[in-house]
Amino acid sequence: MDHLRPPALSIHGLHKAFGEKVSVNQVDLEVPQGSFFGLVGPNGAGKTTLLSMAVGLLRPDAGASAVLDADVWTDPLRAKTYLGVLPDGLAMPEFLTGREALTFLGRLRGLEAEVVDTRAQELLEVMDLLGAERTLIVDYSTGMRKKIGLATALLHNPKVLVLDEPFEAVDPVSALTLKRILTRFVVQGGSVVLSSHVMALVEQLCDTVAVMSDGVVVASGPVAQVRGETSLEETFVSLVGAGTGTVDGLSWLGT
Amino acid sequence: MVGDLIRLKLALTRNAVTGTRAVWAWTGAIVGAVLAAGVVALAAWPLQPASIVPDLLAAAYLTWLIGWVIGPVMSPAPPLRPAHLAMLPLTRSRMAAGMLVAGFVGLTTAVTVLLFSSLIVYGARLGVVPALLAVPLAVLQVCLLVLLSRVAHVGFGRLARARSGAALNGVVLAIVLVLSQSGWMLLVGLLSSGVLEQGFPENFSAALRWAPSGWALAAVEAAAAGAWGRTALIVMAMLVLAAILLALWGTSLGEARGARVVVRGSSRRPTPRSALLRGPLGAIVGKELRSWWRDPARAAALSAPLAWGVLTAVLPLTFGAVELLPWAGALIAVMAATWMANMYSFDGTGLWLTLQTGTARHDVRARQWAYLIIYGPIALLVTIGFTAWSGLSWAWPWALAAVTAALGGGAGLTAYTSVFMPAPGPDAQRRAENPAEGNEEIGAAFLVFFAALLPPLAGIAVVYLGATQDSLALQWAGVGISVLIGALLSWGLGLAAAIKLERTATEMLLLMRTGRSIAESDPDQPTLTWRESTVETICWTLGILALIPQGLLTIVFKLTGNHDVQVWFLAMYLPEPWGWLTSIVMVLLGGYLIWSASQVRKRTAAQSEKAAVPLDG
Repeated sequence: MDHLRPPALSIHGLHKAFGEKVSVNQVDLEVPQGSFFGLVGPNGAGKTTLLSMAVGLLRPDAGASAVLDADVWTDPLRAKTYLGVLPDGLAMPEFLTGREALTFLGRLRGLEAEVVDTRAQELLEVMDLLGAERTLIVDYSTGMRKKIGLATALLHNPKVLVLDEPFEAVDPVSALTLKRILTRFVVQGGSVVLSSHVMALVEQLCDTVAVMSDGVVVASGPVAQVRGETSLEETFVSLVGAGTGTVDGLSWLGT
Repeated sequence: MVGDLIRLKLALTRNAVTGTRAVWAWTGAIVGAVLAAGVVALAAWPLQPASIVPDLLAAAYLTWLIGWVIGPVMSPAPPLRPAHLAMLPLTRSRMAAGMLVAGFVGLTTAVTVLLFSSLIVYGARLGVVPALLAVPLAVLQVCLLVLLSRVAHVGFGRLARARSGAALNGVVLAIVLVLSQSGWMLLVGLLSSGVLEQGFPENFSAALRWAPSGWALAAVEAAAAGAWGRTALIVMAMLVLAAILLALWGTSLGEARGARVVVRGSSRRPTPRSALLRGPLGAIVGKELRSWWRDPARAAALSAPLAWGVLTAVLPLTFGAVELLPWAGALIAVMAATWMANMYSFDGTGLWLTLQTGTARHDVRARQWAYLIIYGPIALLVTIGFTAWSGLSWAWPWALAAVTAALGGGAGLTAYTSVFMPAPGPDAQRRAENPAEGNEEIGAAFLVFFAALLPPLAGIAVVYLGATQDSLALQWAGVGISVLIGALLSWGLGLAAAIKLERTATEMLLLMRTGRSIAESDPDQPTLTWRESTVETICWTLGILALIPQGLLTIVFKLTGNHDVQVWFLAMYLPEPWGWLTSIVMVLLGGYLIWSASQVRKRTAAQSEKAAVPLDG
C-alpha cells in the first residue's frame, strides 16, 4: 500500500461522555484508502457515537478526525465534500418524494442541474424506488428509508462512504444490489466504512474490520487476521464476551 | 396491573419531564391549584343572590372541562402510551381501565380533585344528605372529565392525520385562545348586565348544567330540593356517559397504529435551470414551501394564526365595534410568529443534512423567506380587506404600519428563537399517530408573542404623530419606518441566528436526537450565573428603552418640531435646554447600558476560556 496517501478516514483519540457514561473512550482508528472497512460491536458499544463524531455530526469531548487530507472540524466544507454519510435513525426531508429529496440535496451541494437530474434518475432506478415515485419519504418503510438515505449519500460522488447500519431492514434483493454498488465503489478506488452487527455480512464484504465494545476498539486489522482460524462471529463473541446470561438459565422455555 | 402501570407512568414522567418542562409543569400546577382553591372558597362564600354561587361554580367547572379537552391536544402525548402494552395479552377493557387509573396519577388530576372538592363544600351548605352525596359525585365528575379528555385526544389525533383535519384543529385551538383572551369582553358585558345583583339569566344557568361538567352539581341541587327522581336520573346519565366514553376509548386502544392520510408528491419534475432558483437558498425555500403544503402540523400552524387574528378582530362586532378590524392582519402576523417560534422542530433531526452540506446560513435565510412567502400575503390581504370592510379610512396607515413591522419582526424573531431556544419535538416520521403532536416547550412561543408586539410600536408612534399633526405625509412615513424596521429586524435577527446555527448546529442536532436539554451547551457561549444573567437582562431592557424611545425618538420629535408629544417621553416634558440635554443623556446612557450588557458575556467568556480544556487531548 502506498504510505504517502493519507488514510480515507483517520480518527485520533475521539472521546465522548454523556454525563457519567463514557460512550466512546479515546478511540484511534485508521481506514486506509480503497478499503472496505467494517465496524462491528454489540448494541450500545458506541459505534453510532463514534461514526457521528468522525463525520462531524456530533462534537467530541476530545480528539480529532480527518477525511483524506481534510480535518472534519477545522476544514468541514472540504471534508464533507469527500464524505457520503448514511446516519442511523435521523430524519430526511420528510415531506419530499425520493426524487425531490435527491434534487434538493444536489442543489444544496451545488451540483449542475443536468448532473442532478441524471444521477437522481439512475439512483432511483438502482435503488428500486421508481415504483414509489410519488410517495413522500415520511411514508417510506424502514428499508426504503435506508435506500433513499444511501442514494443521497452517493449523489455527489463522494470519495469516502460512512454508513451506519446500511443493511438493517433492507430486503435481500435490494441488499444484493447495495452490496454490488458498494463493492464496485471500492474497486474503483473509493473507501467504505460501515457499521453492522451482522457478522456474516461484514465477513463477506469487508477486507478490514474493527471490533468495538464498551466504547473502545478491542481489535482491528484485516478480516483474516482478526478472525484467525475461526469465524468472525466466534472471534467477536470471544472478544466482547458472551455476556453473563447463559442459555442454561432458560430451562422453562419451550416446555 | 394498575399499580405497575402507575409506577411505569411515574417513571416515564420522571425521565421525560425535566428542566424547563418540569418548571412549566409545576408553575401550571401551582397556578391551577390557586384558582381551584379560589373556587372552593367561592363555594363557601355567602354571595347574594344565592343562585349566583352554583352558577359561578358551574361556569368554573365548564372552564375546567374545556381545559381538559384542549390541554392534551396542545401538549405531547401522555407518557404512558397504549403502544407500550400492545403485545401484552390484556383485554381491551382491562387495559383501558388500567390506563385510565394510571392516567389519574398526575398534577392535573390533583388540581381537578381540589376543584371538585368545592362541590362538597357547596353541598354542605345545602344540607347533610347533599354533602354526603357530593362526595361520590365529585369523584365521578373527575372521572368523566378525564375520560372526556382521553377521548377528545384520540379524536383530535384522528383528525390531525389529514391536513384538513389538522387545519381544523388549529382553528379549534384559535377559538379557545380567543375565548380565553377575550373573556374579559364577556365579563364586562356580564357585569354591566347586572348579573351579580340579579343572578344569571335562567337559560344560561340551565345551559351550564346541561354541559357534562355541570351534571354532578345539578344532581346535588336536585337532592337538596328533594327531587330524588331527578337526582337518580342524572347520576344514571353520568354513569352511562362514563361507560360509553370508556368503551370508545378502549376501542381506540386496541386499534392498529394509524397512518396519516397519504399526501402525494410530484413526479419527475426536473431541477430548475434558472440561476435564481438553482442554488441552496432556492432549494431550501422550495423544500420549505412543499413542506408547508404537505405537512399536517404546518397546516395547523397556518390555520391557527389566521383564525385567531380574524376571530379576535371580529368578536367586538357583536357589540357593533369595528375598530379592531383593520388590525386583523397584524394580529395574524403576531400569532404566526408565536406559532413558528420553534420552527426547527418541524424537521427535527433532519438538521443533519444542513450540517453535512454546510448550508446553515442559507437554511436560516430560506426559512425566513418561506415564512414571509407563506404568512406575508395572507396578513397583507386580510389587512387590506378588513380595513376596507371596516370603512375606517383613517386606519390605513395605522394598519399597514402594524402589519409590515409585525411580519418583518416575526421573520426575524422566529429565526432567532428557533435557533437560540430550540426545543425538540417528535420527528415527522414518528408523528404518524398524531401529526399535530407538538411539545410542551411553550417558553419561546410565549416570549415571541410579546416580542412580536414591539416592532410595530415605532412606526405606529410616527403615524400617531402624523394623526395629531394632521399630516398625511408623516402618517405614511410611519408605514415606511415600519417597513424599514421589519426589514432590519428580519435581516439582523436572521443574521444572528445564522451565525449561531453555523456554530452550534451539532449541539442542536444532539438536542433533536436525544430530546433532552443540551448537556454540553454552546462551546463558545459561557454559562452565566443567575446574577450575571439578571444584570445582563436589566442592562439590555433599560438600555434599549433609554436609547430608542427616551433618546433617539425624542430627538426625532424635537427635530420635526413636534414639541407637544409628551406621553411618557421625559425629555418632552422638560423646558429647553433641559429637554435636549435629557435626550442626549438618554442616548448616552442607553448606549452605555447596552455596551455593559454585552460586556457581561464577554467577561465570562474570557474567564471560562482560561479554564477550558483544549479539544485535542
